[in-house]
Amino acid sequence: MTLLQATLSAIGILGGTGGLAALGSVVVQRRKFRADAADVLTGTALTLVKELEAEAVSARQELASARRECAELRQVVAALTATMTRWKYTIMDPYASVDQLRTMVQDPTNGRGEATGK
Amino acid sequence: MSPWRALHVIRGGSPFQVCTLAACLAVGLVLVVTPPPVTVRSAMPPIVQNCWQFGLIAAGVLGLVGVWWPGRFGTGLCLELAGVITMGTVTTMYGVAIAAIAGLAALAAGAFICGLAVASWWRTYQIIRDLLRASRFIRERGSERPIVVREQ
Repeated sequence: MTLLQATLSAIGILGGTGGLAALGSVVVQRRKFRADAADVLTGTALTLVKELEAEAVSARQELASARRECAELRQVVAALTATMTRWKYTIMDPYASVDQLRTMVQDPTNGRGEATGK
Repeated sequence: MSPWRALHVIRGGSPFQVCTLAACLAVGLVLVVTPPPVTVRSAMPPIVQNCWQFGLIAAGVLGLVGVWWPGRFGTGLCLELAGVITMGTVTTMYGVAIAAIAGLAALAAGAFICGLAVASWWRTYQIIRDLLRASRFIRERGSERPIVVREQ
């Protein structure tokens, strides 16, 4: 057998062993990759999923901020309603005097029960 | 933070790979009824010639089945790995035979065959790397369900 034949035979034996080992790994990996009842996505789909995920996070943040603003506005409306109700009963009072009304309007808490800072 | 982790796997089945594997299979089948090339006959002992011809068919079948495997990705990758290792082996053997027998006279054919051999070993490296990565992923996060992302 020449050197060339020996070399080619050696390459063939090595490669064949490698191929057989890869075939054998089909059985081994089946046990190992039991968790591989995994979902398979393409790269493009993953990009879309990531974009949607980012949008969902931003939408959640906006929702939280909108809820906070809504709660603050609700407090303001409640305070203003209370002021208006108080003013209405004071004005409608048959014994109401102009001085009384003037004092009420100049109330530094402006009917909210808190100072306006001025 | 995502509730899941992605496991990136490079997908086989590019047009180059599929056509090369199909050509391998076709040549192997044709060589069943026709004598092998002169370089192969001159450079390999008869039993190695037979193994080489069988390798061509095996590479094509295993590679294509692996690329289009509909089941678990790990099984498909291992089958493809067996296919590309076999293809790398037969093309390397043929490339060495061409270089040794014909030398520069068969530069074009030899270069193409060597290119195929390098591509096969390159793909072999990619598959082994992905399998090791998947194995590590599952060992470290066994309870998590990975999402396998196939990249072309």
